[in-house]
Amino acid sequence: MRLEYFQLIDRIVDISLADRKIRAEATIPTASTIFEGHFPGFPLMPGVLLIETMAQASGWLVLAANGFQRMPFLAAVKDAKFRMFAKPGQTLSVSAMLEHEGSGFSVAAANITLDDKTMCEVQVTFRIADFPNDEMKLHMREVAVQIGLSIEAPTDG
Amino acid sequence: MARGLGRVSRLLANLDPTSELPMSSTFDTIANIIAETCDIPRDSIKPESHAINDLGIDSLDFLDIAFAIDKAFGIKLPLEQWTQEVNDGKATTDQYFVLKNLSARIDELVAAKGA
Repeated sequence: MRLEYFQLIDRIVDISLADRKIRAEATIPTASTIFEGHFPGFPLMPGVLLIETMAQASGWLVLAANGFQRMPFLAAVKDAKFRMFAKPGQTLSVSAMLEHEGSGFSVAAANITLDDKTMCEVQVTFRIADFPNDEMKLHMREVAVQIGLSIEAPTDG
Repeated sequence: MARGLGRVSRLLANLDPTSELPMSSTFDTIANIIAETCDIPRDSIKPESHAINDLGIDSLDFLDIAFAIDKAFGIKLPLEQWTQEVNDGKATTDQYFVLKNLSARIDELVAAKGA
């Protein structure tokens, strides 16, 4: 996780567009200013960042499914549950499944596991929109390559 | 009336003695979805109600409704196309968001799927 860039997914481990599933890994850094305040003597990964991590895994799945043609923007978060603490140094397994692709929106169910135990889960809804500009479109493709997500659709820029 | 919806409408007709028209079952399903997802009293949701203007449902809340409708009927409401048509002045929101009209659009989509 590059917390300072809000890039929370380190690596795509597995993706199946046929099954509409993705699995990714994310290692919580051992040191961050976040942990100096949250909390002194008991560093914990904040729940909102775990939600963001699950949303990002879901977002990469949506992007892969639409061939990086349109951008998913987080629109709703539902039924978030945190079942155990997330601590510095842990490597998390982040999974997401695309539940529905509507017209202009998608819904995904995601979770994070640690040692096969569910740490947290959420349902996220995205609005799917055209990329606001080429800079963002290019950036998403570049990050996708960095984290090992292949861009299968023909590229146009 | 779509074949696939026949069973649903019969089931709902059994539950609802006031159900008369074939369309009413589709309306009942979406009214129940709206009542549940938006916490709007079911009694206040009428076939003449406009989802946006009368019921105060915003576009984000409507995504929840669209998700539930898509799942319930096995269709994909063409929200982007409708929005474009309204923005281009080719359609009014009444055509898609007055619930009896929305019911009719859903019936058409279900029929088209079964065709």
